Amino acid sequence: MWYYFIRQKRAVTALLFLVTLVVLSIGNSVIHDGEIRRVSLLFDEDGTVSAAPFAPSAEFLLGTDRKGYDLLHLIIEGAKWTIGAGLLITFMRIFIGLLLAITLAKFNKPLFRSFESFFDSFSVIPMTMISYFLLQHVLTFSNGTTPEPFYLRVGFQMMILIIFAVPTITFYLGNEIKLLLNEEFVRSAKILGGRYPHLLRKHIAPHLNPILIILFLQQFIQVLVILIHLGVLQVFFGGTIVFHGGDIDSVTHEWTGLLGMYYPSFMSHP
Amino acid sequence: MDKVISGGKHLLFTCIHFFLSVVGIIALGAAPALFNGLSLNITHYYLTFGNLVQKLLEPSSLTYSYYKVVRPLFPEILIRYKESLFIFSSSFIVSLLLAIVIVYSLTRINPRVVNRIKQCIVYLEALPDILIIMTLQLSVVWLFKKTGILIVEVAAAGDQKIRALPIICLSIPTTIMFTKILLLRIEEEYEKPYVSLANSKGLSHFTVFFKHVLRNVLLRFFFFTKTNIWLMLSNLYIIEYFFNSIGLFIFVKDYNSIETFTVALLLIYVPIFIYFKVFSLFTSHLLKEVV
Repeated sequence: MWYYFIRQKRAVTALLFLVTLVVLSIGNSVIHDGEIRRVSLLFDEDGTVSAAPFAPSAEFLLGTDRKGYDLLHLIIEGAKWTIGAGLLITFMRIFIGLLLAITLAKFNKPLFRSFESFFDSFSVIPMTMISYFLLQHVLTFSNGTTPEPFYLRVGFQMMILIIFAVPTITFYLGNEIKLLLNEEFVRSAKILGGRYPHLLRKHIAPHLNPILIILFLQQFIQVLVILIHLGVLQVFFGGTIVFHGGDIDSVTHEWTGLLGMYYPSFMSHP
Repeated sequence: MDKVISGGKHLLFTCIHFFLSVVGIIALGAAPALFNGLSLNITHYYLTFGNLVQKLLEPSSLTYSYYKVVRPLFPEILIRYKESLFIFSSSFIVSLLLAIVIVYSLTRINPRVVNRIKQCIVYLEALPDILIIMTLQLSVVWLFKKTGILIVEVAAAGDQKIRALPIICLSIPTTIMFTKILLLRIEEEYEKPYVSLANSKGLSHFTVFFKHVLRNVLLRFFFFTKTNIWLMLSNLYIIEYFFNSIGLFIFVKDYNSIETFTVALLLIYVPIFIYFKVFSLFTSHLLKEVV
């Protein structure tokens, strides 16, 4: 599989790009302590003063925002949060979902169906709605007040984003495993004395792995979409700081939050 | 006699499932009470749950408050609901029709081009819907600036209704999704022997597609459409926010209390549940081979 992957040049380039960003981002927190370059005033050679925001130039590759923060620097700082959190949330969703699915697939049909219908609403109701509803009070705080500690906030947000997606994944995988368990080769293995763990490892896993990979990619996109939606609704990953006068700032400078944060300036200066 | 018994059994199970789902929704709606700040509070959750059930049994007692002005929930939320439902269903129909037209034209052209288009679809699918919304909004504004013609309203204010642009915005990602799924299923369907029989009998391409293939495909498409509905609903949420339309989701966002949230969830869930149950009731014999 790795061989196949390496042969595809485009995928490798994309991966390298992301890895570079993450490495730079982590480097930024280690060396610069997560500070972001800020220039609010700039003097020309003949002494004229210009103020932020600056357009993209040689000095600021992507320009700066109204407060003078370097946008390229912001993006690099945010990279580790976006990619790291996205991957972690996706992985945890599938891991927990798989564990539960393996347990549930052993249950008899009526019990399985009852569980399924109890959690059925999860598969229909938009995640953004639930998570916004739950997270809004925890993650938004005004400048000057002391919020909950950072790691608790991040943990809580991740937990919410994980928990509310687990039921759907569980029943999807559970149904798949149930289908596989009814296959003839599994039945004959059972007759020959294979126990459930053995069946899972030797007969179910090879068929389940491709499904898991596709599911992983799907879920990763889904997590990013939810984060973007939350960012637009001004609930940023890690917390939103509300300044006096309605200005907002993101704690982690995470990409999706940046998108939400700069949406107003995008709309007013297209 | 046997059929009646099995039918009754089926009905009983449906009722039980419905009941369980509703309990699940109420449990979900009461979830905010579970978290007190960042700590868990199980007794509070339990109390809220009971309270919620009591209130839901008596719909006239449900209220929402806006700056301490308390108003009854019921006629208001239904008006909002109608608005959301209108946008949702019209864009569902529009995207389905569009997807069918696209897929039909794709079956007529060179397979190599089709492969190209499939790759494009994969890239388009990864595009977040927000970008589409922003681009559309901006391009309408830009066109207005350049030519002075406002094709459609960009955002709603007050009680004004805005429909055209939200429907378009919701339709674009949905159409892409539908096209992909239909294309996949139709390609599978074309491998089947009855299609070659129909072709060899000299039926036109048009007849084969619309009279035979599409019918079989759509039946399955509707049966497995849950994920699509989920995606559309979550796009609708953000679209309503962007266009400031007076739909159900914005209502929940603006007046967020546990009761509004739960009632909204029920309003969304119940029609979908009925749709799936009725559908499976009428077509279960047709889908036996599939499921």
